[in-house]
Formats: sequence, C-alpha cells, structure tokens
Amino acid sequence: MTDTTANTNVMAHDSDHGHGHDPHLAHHFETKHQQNTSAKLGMWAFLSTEILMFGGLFCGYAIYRANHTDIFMYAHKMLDMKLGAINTVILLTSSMTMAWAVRAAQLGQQQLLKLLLAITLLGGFGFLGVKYVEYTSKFHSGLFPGARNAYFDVEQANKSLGLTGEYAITPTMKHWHIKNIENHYFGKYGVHWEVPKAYQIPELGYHPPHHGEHDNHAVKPAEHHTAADAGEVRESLTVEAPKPGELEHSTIGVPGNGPAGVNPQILKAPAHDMPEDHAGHHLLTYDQLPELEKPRVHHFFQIYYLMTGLHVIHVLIGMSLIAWIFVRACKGQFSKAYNVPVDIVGLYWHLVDLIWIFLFPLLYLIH
Amino acid sequence: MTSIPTPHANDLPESQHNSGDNYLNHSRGFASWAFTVDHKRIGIMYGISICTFLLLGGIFALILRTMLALPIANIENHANYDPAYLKHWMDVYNHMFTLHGAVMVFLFIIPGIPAVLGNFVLPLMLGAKDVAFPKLNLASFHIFVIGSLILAWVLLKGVLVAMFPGLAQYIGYGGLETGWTFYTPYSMDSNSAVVEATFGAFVLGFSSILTGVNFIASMHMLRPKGMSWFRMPLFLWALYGTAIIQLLATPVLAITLLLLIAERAFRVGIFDPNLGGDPILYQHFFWFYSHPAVYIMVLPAMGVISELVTAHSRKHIFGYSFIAYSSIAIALLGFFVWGHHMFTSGQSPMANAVFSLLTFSVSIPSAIKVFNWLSTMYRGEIHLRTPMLYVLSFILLFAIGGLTGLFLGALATDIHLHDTYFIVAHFHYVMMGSTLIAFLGGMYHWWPKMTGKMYSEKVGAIACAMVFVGFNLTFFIQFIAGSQGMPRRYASYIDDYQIYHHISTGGAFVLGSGLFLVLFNWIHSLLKGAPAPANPWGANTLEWQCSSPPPHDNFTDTPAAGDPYDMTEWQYDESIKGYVKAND
Repeated sequence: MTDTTANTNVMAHDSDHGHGHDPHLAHHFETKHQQNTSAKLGMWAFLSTEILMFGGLFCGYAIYRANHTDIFMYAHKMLDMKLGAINTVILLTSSMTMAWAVRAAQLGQQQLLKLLLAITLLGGFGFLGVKYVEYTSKFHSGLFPGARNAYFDVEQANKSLGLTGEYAITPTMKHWHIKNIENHYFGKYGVHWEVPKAYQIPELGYHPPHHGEHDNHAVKPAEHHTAADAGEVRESLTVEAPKPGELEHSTIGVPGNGPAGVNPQILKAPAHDMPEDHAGHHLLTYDQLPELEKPRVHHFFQIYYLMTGLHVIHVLIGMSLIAWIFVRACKGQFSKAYNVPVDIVGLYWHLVDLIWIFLFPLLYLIH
Repeated sequence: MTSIPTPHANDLPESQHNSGDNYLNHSRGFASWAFTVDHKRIGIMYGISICTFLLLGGIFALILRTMLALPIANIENHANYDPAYLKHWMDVYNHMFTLHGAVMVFLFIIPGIPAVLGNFVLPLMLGAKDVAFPKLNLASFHIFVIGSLILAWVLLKGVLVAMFPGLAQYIGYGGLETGWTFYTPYSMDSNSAVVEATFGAFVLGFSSILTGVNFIASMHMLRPKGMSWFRMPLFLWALYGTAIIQLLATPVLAITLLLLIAERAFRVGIFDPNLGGDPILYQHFFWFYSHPAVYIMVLPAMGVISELVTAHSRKHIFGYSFIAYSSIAIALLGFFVWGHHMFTSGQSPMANAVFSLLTFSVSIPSAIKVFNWLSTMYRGEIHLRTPMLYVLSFILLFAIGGLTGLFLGALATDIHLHDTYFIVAHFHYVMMGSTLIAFLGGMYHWWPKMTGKMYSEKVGAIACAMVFVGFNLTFFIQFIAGSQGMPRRYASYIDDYQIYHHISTGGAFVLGSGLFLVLFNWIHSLLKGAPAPANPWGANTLEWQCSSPPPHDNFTDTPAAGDPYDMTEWQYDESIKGYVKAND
C-alpha cells in the first residue's frame, strides 16, 4: 500500500496525460500532495485495524484479569521485569530514530537517513534478541505456550499431547515442577521449597540448602522436567517417586506440615503476612490460590505468549518494511520531493512501539 | 476520449462517444487480467469468482433442502433405517448446512457488492481514473483468491476423505460441520477441518480490510471538483459506511479466528471450558465482528437500491441527506448490538435489556431509508425495467425481514423463537432477500456499463418473478415452521413439520431455477446482446458519462460533478436507444 506509484506494464501506456513526467506521480492523481495525503490516510486507516486486532486481545486480557485476578498476581512475577524494561527502552529509542529518519528524508539528508534507518533496524534486532532470551528462559522452566505448560491440567495435557502409560505426566510431577518453578522465580522473595532430589530441575538453578545429606540414593537428577521429556523423567523417577495417590499423605514441601528446608515464614503465615515483593505487594504461592483458580494459572502464560507473540510478528513485519526502505534509501530513491514511503513505514513502526508500551505494564508491572 | 482504432472494436456503434478502445479489449492475455491494476477488470474478476461461489453455496443449499424433504428426515420413518446409516446421513447434513453458510457468508455476501459493484463503479462515480491504491486493490483480490482456495481445499478434502476414507490418517478429515459460527466448545472437538476453514476466513478478512482502506482513501481524496460530501452518490455513502465496518470489525474477527486456531493447535484454553476457558467469550468476540458484518452485507445493498430507485423512477432521490446519514448511523449502531445473538446464552438481564433497546434503535435508520425510497417513487416516472423489479422485490422483502427482526429483538419473544426456523427465515430475508436481490438488481443496472451489451428485459423480468416467488415460497413458510417450534440446524423433524419442509424445498427449486435463468440471461446478453448506449437509464451519476464499456482510463478529463440525481437534462434519444444530455 505504501507504493502508490502504480506504473506496471499494464498501465505503461498511460504516462501521457499531460502530467506523466513525474515518475512518482501515479496517473490517477492530480498532484503530489493529493497522492501523499492519500497514502498517509490509507496507512492511518490500516493502523486503526491493527489497533482493533490487538484490541480483541486486550479485551480478553481485561476479562481474564478481572475474573481471575489472583492468577495474574501470582504468575506475572515470573516475568523478567528488567528484560521487559530493557526492551521498552530499545523500542522507544528505535521509534525516536525512526521519527528522526522521516525528518532526514524530508530534508534530503541521505547519509543521515541511511544511518538512522540502520539504527532503527538494529533496535528491532535487539528487541528480538531480548525476547529470545526471555522466551527460552521460560521454556527451560517448563512455562510453555499451550498444553506443555507446567500449570496445565494434567489429564488434559496427557490427552492433548497424546501421552499415555509410562510417558504420561502425573499430578506428582506437576506438583514438584511447580515447586521448582517457585524456588526459581520466587527465591528472591524468600520462598524455598524442599524438593526431593528426583524432582529437582538443575536448569532452574535449584540448590538444596543441605547439599549432600540426601545424596545416598543413586538417582540421576531429573533433566528438563517437562512433558517433552516425560519419558526420560519417568525413568529417573522409578526409584523414589511417590505414586499419585501418595501425594496427599506426603509431608515434604507441603506448607503447614513441612520439614526442615521450607522457609518457616511461609509455612505459618496467612496470605496477608506473606513476604512482600519489590513493589511492596504480598506474594502468593500456588498452594494459596483458590482451588478453582489453580487449573487456570496457565491462562496467564497463554495470554502472555499470544499478546507478545502477535507483537513479535508485527515487529518482524516492521523490520522487513524498514529493511525495504533502507535498501531503497541506499539506492538513493528518496529526496525532498519523494519520501512518503519512509513516512508510512515510520507510522507502522510507531504503532509497533505503541502496542509494546501497553503490553509492558499490563504484563510485567501489574499489582 | 482518445480514439485509437483497434481491430477488436467492430461491435460498437459509431454514434456514441465510444472509441474502439475500451477496458475489455485494451490488452489481451491471461496476465493482462490476472495482474491488472485496472479497478474495472478487478471488479469483473471478483464478479466471476463470487458468482461461482454463489453457485457452489446454492448447490449446498439445494442438497440440504432436498435432504430435508426426503422421507428419512421424518422421525416417524427412522425405524426403517440402519442406525449407522442414519448417523452418517445426519453427519452429511451437518456438513451441508455448515458449508452452505460458510461459503455464502464468507465468499459471496460479504465481498459480494463492495468487491464487484463497488470496485467497478466507485472510481467511475467519482470521475476518477482508478481507486486510490490500484496495486493494493489487486493485492486484495489475490488475497481473496488465496483465501477462497483455502476454503476450497476444505471442501476438496471433505470429498476426498468421503471417497477414500483411508486418506484421513494422512491429511486429516475435511469438510466442516460446526455451523458457520465455529462456536466453542464444539469447534474444539470437531474432527472436521476447522483450522483450515478459520484460516481461510482469516485470510479473506484481510482482503476485506484492504478493500475498505482503499475505498475510504478514494472517497476522501479522489472526489472531483464540485463533488462535496453531500453531492456524492448514495451508493458511495453506503460503501463508506461499509468500509468503516470492514476496518473496525474485521480485525476483531481476525483475532478471534487466530485465538480459535491457537486453541485447536496448542490448547491455550481461552475458550475451552475443559481447560478453564470461557466459551461465551468466544460468542462475544465472534458476534462483535459478525453482527457488524451483517451491515457489511446489507449496507451496500441499500446503497445500490438508492441508486436504482431514483434512476428508474426518473425522479430526484427523496431525502438525500437522511439516506446518507442513515448509512453512517447504521454502521455505527451496528457495533453495539452484538449481544442480541446471545439473549439465551446466560447474559445478565441488564445486558440483555440494553442490547434489546439498541437493537430496536437500528430499525430507525433502516426505516428512514425505506420511507425515502417509497417517497422517491411517489409520482415518479417509474420504468418497470428488470433493475426496478428487483428494487420493488427488495423493498418488500427487506420490510418483511426488518419487521420480523423486531420479534427477535424483543427479549420475551426471542426466548421462544431463538434457534428456530423463524430466525433462519428472518436472516434469509435480510441476507438473501435484500443483499442477493440488490446484487442482482445492481448487476442488471450496471450490466450495460460493464459489458457494453443490453440484456433481454423479458427474460430478466421472468427470472426476477421466479426468484421472488421461489424465495417467498422457500422462506415465508419457515417463519410459520419456526414459530411452531421447528429448531434450526436439525437433520430430522417430527411429522407435524413435514408439510413446511416440503413446501420450502419446492420453493428452493423454483428459486434455483430463477437464478439459473438470470445466469442464462447474462450469458445470452454477452453473446447476442445489442450494443449498449453510454446512458441507457438517463441517470446523472458520473459513471454514465463515459462510454459503455468504459475506456481503459475511464475519463480523459475529469467530468464536472453536479447534483448526482438531477436527471432533467437527460433526454431519451430513440436512435441510440439511450439518453443524451439535452445541451449536447
């Protein structure tokens, strides 16, 4: 849509209506101003559809957050606020260089235009790089999108992933996986569950406080404790894994009955006495969530992946457009007189930025 | 006009402004059509594809109507059939009504009038050489083709798997049996091709959005000198309203369908109650698009009728600004009534009452239009040509469709009528009785301009009568069946309803024959029709001021725009069987 200078082979005969001399003026426009204004109007109209498209997701977010507040309070703490903030800075900076690039194009500053477009594009790569780090660290914790998410209902996960028999995920596995996750992400708030060795996930940085005391079993430490590796996990569990039914009678790691190693503050404290996080808010653990909400914890991650995933797709589209503009700028196609494609791609990039400005606080900074 | 004689121009009369060169013979070959940026050729290509889908959807309709008329549909006879066969038969029925709905909605009614008539007529009405973004226009056609090929694959897969059941383990099951609305949770469990079909609809949505962007920019930027907003033809006002809805509602469908695909592919569980999701949220999302989409379907139809009624009554349109504003009012109000599809879904009574009230408010701008059309005809010089016959059919059918909507908008009666044949009849009166009828009327009206050929009025009138009679036979009886309690989407019925279904099926075949006669009439006109004059109806909108068919560039010089409905200057000239400007 950005290139309205439609002189394709079919229209090639038409360049002789008296104003066909300007190669950038399409035959159906009277003036350059009319053509440029049309292009910008069209882009603004298209951006309104993008807003509405994300609007559907924001609406879903609002409904789930209003109906299941505890889940959002609980799960959002697992997102890395620092990385989110870095990405916000990166995108805002790239938006600034983009706006500057538009100005440079209008003033005919060719070298500056190329430089600024390159920086903007670099910002896009930077954003994607940080996002890659974030996503992979979540994947390592078993916080996948879809049915592989550690919080997914066990029965439904087995059904959806087609896991049966010895490969099936058990409630016990899910129970300890969540303890691992909480140790990893909530450790900084003082949460520490004593997890049986067979269920420890080294990738999550879990270091038992009494290291060595429980080492008398010859058990391989569990690898990635996710459905993907269910078979492998199962192998290592055969030695000392409690059966699903035993879980209720198990005393290890269950608040209130806990042995040594569990933070005593957590064991005794009612919810409002829980340790506070960085923003002075009470911390929730999975066990303290209302029973009906527990099967829905995975929704936070689904919404997180859907929203940021769609945003990443838009970042990719924006970057392709900037790359296209960059190539054209290198060929010297833009001048004071003709620069509307830069302007239009700039508008798109600002939208990508704008959506992130809403995503960051809604996902990372809620309380 | 530039007069470059070409060897293909022999069939056009010399007496017109016609040069030999027109958009149809300007260039030749497959690529000159498939990759053209000429809005007229794009409009024609849309027309051919959309009529193909009308035929396809119509075949599904006839199959499902036939199935309902067979003895097997009557529950009394079920004991005579093998239960496995019966189940299979009902499964086929579910596929048929779903495919009929999905093909008709996504591939015929939604793109129908804007993409075919809008694309062809809009730049001509603006006195412009093309739409604002010709390449984008071509892109949206190509996206439409891709989307329709995806839906075609769903159908093909259904047929293949039905013929060779062993294929299912390689390519999955085909077809679609969720109903065109893809309601969760059933669309989660269905083993038909839900992901492919929703992806196809998603792609088609893009085509719709890009067309909307193009039309809005064209109307803002390409109006000629002298054409203020309130001198714009009413069809363009209607397309403007439509484009607003396309821009603002279609992306919500896009995200809904993406969520549905994510739901099926990854089990994100946003809509699936088994995973803690909310199936009513899906209905809200879906209808937030699909109710405004009803106005994507009917607003352009109303615009067509506004043009046709004044041209064939040879009288200035009555209440121009009311019709113009009512188009925008319908477009905006249409965004706030989606909840009336969910009166029985367990919405709060407060929400129900508000949605009901807002629903009634939509009837105000709709009624404004109807009364203005009637007033336009009053004391007009009505020519009962085929387009005008469709106008008269439209007004009657739309009135019935609109008035029966009041029963459904009222909370108390809707509890009884919800999900019965009453609603089937209601939306067919609005969708088919209005949009299809207006599409046919518009096609007849602009046919001479599009093809440069006149059609047979006699055959056109007979076909219109058959469509009208067949339509009422098919659907009026369904109001009665529905109010008696016949549920929609059921493959079988108790004995009491048999007579309604038999009458309805009979009517469907009359209707189908009428539509085939229309097709025959058009093909006959293409082959044997008399050459069309530039202005056969004496209308004053700008598209009649270029030759029929228009030259490649539409207009050499932008024509002067005045009042689009002041037809007094156009006098009938017997020698060319068309109208010419008196001062020429």
